[in-house]
Amino acid sequence: MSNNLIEISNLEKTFVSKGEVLTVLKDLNLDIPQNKKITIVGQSGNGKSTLLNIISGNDVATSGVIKIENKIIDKMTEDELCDYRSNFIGLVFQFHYLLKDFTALENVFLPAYMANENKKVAVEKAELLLNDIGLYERKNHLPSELSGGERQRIAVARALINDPKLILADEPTGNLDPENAKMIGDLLFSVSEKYNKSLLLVTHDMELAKRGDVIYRITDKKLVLEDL
Amino acid sequence: MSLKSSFLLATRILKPRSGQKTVGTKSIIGAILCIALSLIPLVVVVSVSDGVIEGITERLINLSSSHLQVHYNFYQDKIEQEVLTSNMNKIKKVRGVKDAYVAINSSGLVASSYGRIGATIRAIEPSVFLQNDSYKKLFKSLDGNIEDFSSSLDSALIGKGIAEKLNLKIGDKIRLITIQKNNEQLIPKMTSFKVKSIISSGYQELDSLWFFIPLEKGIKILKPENSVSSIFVETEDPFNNLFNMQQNVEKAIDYSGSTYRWDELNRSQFENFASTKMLLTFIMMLIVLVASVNISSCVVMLTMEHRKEIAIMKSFGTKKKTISTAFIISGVLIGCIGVVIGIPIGIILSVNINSIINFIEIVINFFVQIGYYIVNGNLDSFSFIHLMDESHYLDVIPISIPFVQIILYGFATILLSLLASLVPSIKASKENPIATLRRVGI
Repeated sequence: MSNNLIEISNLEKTFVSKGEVLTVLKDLNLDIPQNKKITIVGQSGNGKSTLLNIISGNDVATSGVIKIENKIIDKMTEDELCDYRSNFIGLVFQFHYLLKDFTALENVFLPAYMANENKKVAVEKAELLLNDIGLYERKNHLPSELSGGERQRIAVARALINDPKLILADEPTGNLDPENAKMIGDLLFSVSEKYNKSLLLVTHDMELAKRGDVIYRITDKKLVLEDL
Repeated sequence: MSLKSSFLLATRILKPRSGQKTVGTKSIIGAILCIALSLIPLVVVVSVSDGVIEGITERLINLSSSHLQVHYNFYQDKIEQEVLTSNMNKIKKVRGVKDAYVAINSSGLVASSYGRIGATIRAIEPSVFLQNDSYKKLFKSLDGNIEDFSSSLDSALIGKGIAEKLNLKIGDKIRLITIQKNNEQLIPKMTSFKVKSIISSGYQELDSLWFFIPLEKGIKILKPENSVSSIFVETEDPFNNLFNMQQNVEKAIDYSGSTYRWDELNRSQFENFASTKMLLTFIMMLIVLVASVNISSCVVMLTMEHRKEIAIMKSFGTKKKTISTAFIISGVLIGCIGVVIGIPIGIILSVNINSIINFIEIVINFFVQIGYYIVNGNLDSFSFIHLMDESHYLDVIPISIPFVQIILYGFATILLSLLASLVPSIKASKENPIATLRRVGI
């Protein structure tokens, strides 16, 4: 039995649009070990986000095998997939995707509350995380009352609430100004370090990518190690 | 699945913290109003129909048929008052009997200088009007004095309907035409009476027929072959244990007469009431059913508006059941709010239905009078428009609020709301999160 959190082998993803078959990923292999920070770079449209969506179980591969702690993702039931998304991974998107009618605190504790966590415990955990990211004072603010950087920090806290083993970050700084982008980059690497999380970060920002333990580039639909 | 988290989601769906007024918010208000408005007529209809049925039943049971009737057949030419009186006294001693009195019922024609009309003749002791609780409670004297009924043998108390149709007043002389057999020949017999009082029980069907004459006179002019000689028996509880009472009464009089219960005598009428009420309620429930379709379209609107939120929640692992439950709860809450608004308004309107109809009558007549005056230049021959036909049923609409029934309708409405929100809620939970987020963007 391997120590990898996730093992991907011979992954292929094709899209069919107006009768045309478009292959985005082919023969892609990737292992994500525990406590490793992996970054993936590549040009826009070359399948970085698609890969993350497949790993998060929000999209389905055309072929290939994805093992989550030795369990094949394709064989998971709907409920097992939900549990996997809820407890195994924490997702951070390019856009914050906060729920507009919920406060910062509610946005953070909601995934835990939805996963049957006691509300009081979920709130306490969320408050600790908000404190960690320096937004405790803004806990009762709605997303519309927060800045872009603050919203993305809340999204990071939300990704951590269920204590996932792996953080999946899809261009988390892509929508921010350089100052906030740096802050979010720092935050992601520091929290994954502090809480012993693996990190799989997709970005086109080479400076951010360089902070990973391993850097991959998607070239010709495959992952290749980036030689710096 | 956490019901609490679904409830939290539902409350935010119904009352967004961002305070934005969207199409969804408007459709929520619309669905609530539809449910409330559909429940108002339902509550009014069941309250009024129950009240009318209770009012009619009270009058039929206590005045028309009484609780039990013991019929006697006399084969000689004469009604034997002694037989009736002695058996009445025996019945009065039966435990559970409140009152008993002799009544001879027949039919005939009442004639005045104004015209002729059919009537239901009832010959009773004049003291019944003064001593019997039901008569005292339910009969009103509209003109004259009921106590004068005992003043002479030619006294008559007439129903409001007969008085109106024959244009009769107190002291007017009238003739009662009955049929008598003489050597196998039917001969009309005419007897004169004097109107002592015009009475009303409030139930138009009875008021339009009644012609009361003193028992002594009745025995003289009514013959056994054309009348029903009976003892009317009032029990302490006409709705319970009446069958046993019937047996006790029969035993007390040594099975000398045929005894009938009120529900046997009025069976067809009560079956008619029950089916009419059921039909009305069914029609009203159809309106509620149509209103609940609004909840369905409202939930569709809400799921469309919250597509992005659904996708976000699904992307972080929220289960389909949690999402669909949140929307089902939203639909049920909409139904509940509609019920909470509609039922009390329905009850308030029911309680004040007579005043409301009077007010509407006044308003309508005010405007019609203006129009009439403009056209004719005067109001001399203007006749007041009555929304409720006075010749129907009771003169005022009695109200009886069937709380248990109304609560059941409330629950049925909430159940309909749940069923109406089921399909769109389940459909909403099947959204593909990534496809939706790609489509709706930020």
